[in-house]
Amino acid sequence: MNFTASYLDSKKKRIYDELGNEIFTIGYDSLRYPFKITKPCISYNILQTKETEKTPIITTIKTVKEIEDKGFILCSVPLTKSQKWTNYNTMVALFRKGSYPEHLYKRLTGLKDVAGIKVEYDEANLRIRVVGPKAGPTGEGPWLLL
Amino acid sequence: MVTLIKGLFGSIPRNNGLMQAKRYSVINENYAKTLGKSWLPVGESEIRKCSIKDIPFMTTVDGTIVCIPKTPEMGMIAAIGMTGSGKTLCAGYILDNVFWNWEDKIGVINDSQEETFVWSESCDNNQFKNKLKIVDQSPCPLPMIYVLPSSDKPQEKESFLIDKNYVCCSIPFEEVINNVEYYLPDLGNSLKYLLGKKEQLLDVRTEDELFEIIDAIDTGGSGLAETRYKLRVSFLNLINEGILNISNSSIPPYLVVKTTGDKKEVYNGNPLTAIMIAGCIPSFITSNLYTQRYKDAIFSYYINCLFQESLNGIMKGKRTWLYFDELTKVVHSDPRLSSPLTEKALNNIASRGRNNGISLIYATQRYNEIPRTIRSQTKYAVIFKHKQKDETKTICDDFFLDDKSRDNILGLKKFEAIAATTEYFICYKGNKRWETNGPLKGNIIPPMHKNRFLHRV
Repeated sequence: MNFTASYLDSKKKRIYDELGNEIFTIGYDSLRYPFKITKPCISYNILQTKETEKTPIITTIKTVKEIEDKGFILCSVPLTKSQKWTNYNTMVALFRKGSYPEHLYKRLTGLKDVAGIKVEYDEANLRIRVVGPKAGPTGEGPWLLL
Repeated sequence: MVTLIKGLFGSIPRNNGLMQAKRYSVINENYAKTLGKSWLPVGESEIRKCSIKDIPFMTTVDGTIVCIPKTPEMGMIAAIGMTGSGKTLCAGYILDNVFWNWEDKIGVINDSQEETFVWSESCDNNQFKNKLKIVDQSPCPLPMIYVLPSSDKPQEKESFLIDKNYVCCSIPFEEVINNVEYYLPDLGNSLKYLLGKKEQLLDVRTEDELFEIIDAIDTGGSGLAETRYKLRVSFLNLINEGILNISNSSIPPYLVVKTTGDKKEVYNGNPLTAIMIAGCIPSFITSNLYTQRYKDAIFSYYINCLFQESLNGIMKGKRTWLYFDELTKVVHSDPRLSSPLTEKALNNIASRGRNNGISLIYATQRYNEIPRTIRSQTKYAVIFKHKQKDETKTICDDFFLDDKSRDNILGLKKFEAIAATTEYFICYKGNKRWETNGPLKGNIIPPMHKNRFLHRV
């Protein structure tokens, strides 16, 4: 079956030569092609999770001691060329105490060590994250549960 | 079914209960996304659709869908790589979505391998159909109308043209007379006598009228017979080669588009534009044109027409994409191999097209042989496998790729590509959408239409 013939007919247009004669090699078919001529949309599926989160109550943590009291450590992690998303050579990440290898990453002792970085704490859902240009490509690090 | 699941996702360790539960949840999540709600993992409420407004063309290993954004300024898109790596498939899928979702106009300007003959049929490759499900799409043909040059014989392509719409078109006689030095380059001194009769020639309606005017040429001195003979033979050659057609209405130089019912004329002019205005995609079949010595003049005529229509004609305000497969067969950075008129026409589009709604999508095996003007306007490159390192140097320089990316290009597999841009790509994953400069590596999404060389699998 000639798809273009069916499509042209649905568009209600006809093509002629300059003298107004029909062109016999261009056909029009009122029989509809086996499937609908509808615009194929583009979408993808994700799973909608149940709403188990409470409305977040976010506070900014001001000192590194508060971060450590919650069981986390703030570190500067070097990035390779392929990992970089901006001109920065390092990123800032939170690690659970006792879980990171000390000799690999530089531990930050003050929040002022890195410009533009802040640490947010969600009191309602008990989670913590880093926010800023060095936190991740989207400007935010992942939420970590306490 | 258990064996199938194990085969797909590897063996599930039996002595680690937590790992087993997590793997099982992931397995169900993947099935739910493709097969439906009955496969939802425990605790999940429903499947949600996220729509994509940009043009996806690739998926990365971690499931990110990489897209080309729709911007007011149209940048050129290139698919570059060795033969059989997936360039035409990638370009074909981009064209599918440009046509159906962006509703832009498309013209295939050089189909030298007659690949587009099957584009008006749906994809029948099972592997490709499964890949299309990632973006919720299914096989769908494109409404193609094939334009054969007048020098072609449709009988030779009869097996491909069954159940297809096509038209044989010639170059208008006015175009030949206005550019006679390109169509008849060997006239020498006779040219000035011909140009003296230009106004009369433009009113000619038959070959007989043409030869009457030639016979009436008066050189005012010696060489009259030779001049008339030379002009007559030159025009006869053009007619015999099928390039010139004055009175044969079955090979029209112009097409007219009218609405059904009231028969109101919508457009009268260049065949490629007429087909686009009718809502279809013209494909200029150039498999035999490369052997013609007029190919430069013919290509440049059609490209210039399309550019003028976009600049101040019926296509003004509409977005038009011109697709070139194997662009180096049309233009070349080496002047000895290039077609100067066509290169000038394409340079026009390259420099002025992006703000006038016309741009190129092209596929090529040798990016370094593309003229610099076109390369400098190429904003998006989908880079496939290359054979040799020196072939990748120009791409890496133009798109600021490092040595590691260059090595990655050499190690790519079939249908794998690295996407690079001088602008940005849009990425989708989960419920997030973000911009990135790339480069990104992944597998291409195949087209919804059929591919001539990859049959049912």
